[in-house]
Parts: sequence; structure tokens; C-alpha cells
Amino acid sequence: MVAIDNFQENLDKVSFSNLVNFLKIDPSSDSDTCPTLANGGTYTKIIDHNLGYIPHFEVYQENSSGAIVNSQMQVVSEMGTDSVAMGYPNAMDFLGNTTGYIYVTTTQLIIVMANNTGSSSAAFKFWWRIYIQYGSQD
Amino acid sequence: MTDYGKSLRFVPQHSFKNNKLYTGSFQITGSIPPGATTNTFTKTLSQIPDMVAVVFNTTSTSSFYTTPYPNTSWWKQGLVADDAGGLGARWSISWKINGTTVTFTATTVNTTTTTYTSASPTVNYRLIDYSVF
Repeated sequence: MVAIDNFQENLDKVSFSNLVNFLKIDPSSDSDTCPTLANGGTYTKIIDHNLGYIPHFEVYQENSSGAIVNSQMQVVSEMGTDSVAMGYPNAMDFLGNTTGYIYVTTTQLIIVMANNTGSSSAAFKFWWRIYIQYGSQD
Repeated sequence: MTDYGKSLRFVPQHSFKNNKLYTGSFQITGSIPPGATTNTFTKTLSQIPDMVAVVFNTTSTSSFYTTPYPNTSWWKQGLVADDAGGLGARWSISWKINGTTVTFTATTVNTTTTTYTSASPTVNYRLIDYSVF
């Protein structure tokens, strides 16, 4: 076994330290599939991160039209249109004309998808990434 | 104790780090004229960021508060209710950055035909600066 003192004296051999504030991803980051939704149907994904503070996050979906196209993704959490009449203000434009909204609390990330198109929506895969907070604060 | 941060010099590629978190709030106030209206608010950062991300929160609630987010939630896109005189006004929030200046913009979503006084909703923000090593 290599003594820890030896390790400390040979920092040139260290290529990465997990103790510095890289843009680290919380282990709760994962993916899921929104199933086919009938008109009026909803699909809610609740992710328990339990970080105790408000983390930053991104939500992505496969960008495809019936088939996966080079696994392209788009950041749905950066998209949206105001649609007060639908009862979903700033609804996200998910695939298959599915709308929804995304928010985060100190313990959870909630992704809600709703189909208000008048017909069935297509299933699609989506991902979420929660970034752990480091650094100083102003 | 060894400073493991020194090992970063051996990382061959650039990486993002969580550099600094800025928090604050702005308040929509005053007399709101008919038609589309915008209110802007600025925040000065201590340095020019490489990449930022912003989330918002508001405790503004009213009978017209149709945004499905609970008060404890933070979101990237949403509406801020402005229950002024039963008009059910709402503001959408956007932001842009130029140098060290961040500009938050509140824009009316549904407009009125008469001037009204804002119920002065407060919008909180959390802006994180991701910088390149």
C-alpha cells in the first residue's frame, strides 16, 4: 500500500482531485421516458436530490420526430411560451406537442408534462442534470 | 495538509467550475400604463462570467396566481402575479448579460386598457457564475 505521505509528495502524479469545485453533477441526475399521453393526460417526474439548497439544473429531451435523430437533445428548461389560457404559463415545449413546467426546491426537482393537444402525444426520453453548488457567494 | 487544488494545473482540458453565486431580488412597482410594458433591473457582477445560469422565485400569490409553482419553488421560466385591483396582471421574467451587468426584464403578459398601480411583487433570483479554468 502506498503511504499517504508518499502521495502528498508526488502531486505531479495527480491528474484530478475531486475536492475542488468543478461543475459537479449530483448523483440524482438521470433520465426517464415520458409515456404516450392521452389528451389531458399528465406525467410527473419527481427527483429527490435532498441537497438542502436550491441547485441549478438543466432538463433535456431527445429531439426527434418519431425516431431518434443522432440522439440530438434540446434544453427544454430554456424554452417555453406564455400560455396563460392553458393554465400552464410559460409551458415548456416538450416533444410530441406535450407541454409542461419545471421547478426546483431545496429537496426536489419536479418535471411535469401535460398533453393539452386534443390528441395523443408521442413518448419521448428526457434527462435532467442537477449541479452541485460550490464557490463563494455575493 | 496538501492543497489538492494545485493538481488542477495538470488537467489538460479546460473545465468549468462553480465560481460564485449571486443572490438578490427586485421589485416591480409603480404605475403601470396601458399596453405592453417592461421594467428593467440591473445587477453588477464582480467579474465578467463565462457562463451563467439563473433561477427565480416569488412569493407573489393571488387569486389570479395561475403559475403552477409553489411559493417555495425556483424556476427558470414562470410568471409573476401582480394582483393589482383585481386585474390579474402577470409579468414574465427574462434576463441578459453584457460584461458585468446583468439586466432582468419584467414584461407584461396580459395588458390592460387603463393605468393601474402595481401590487409590487418581489422577484428573487439566484445567479451562478460558471467560469473556465
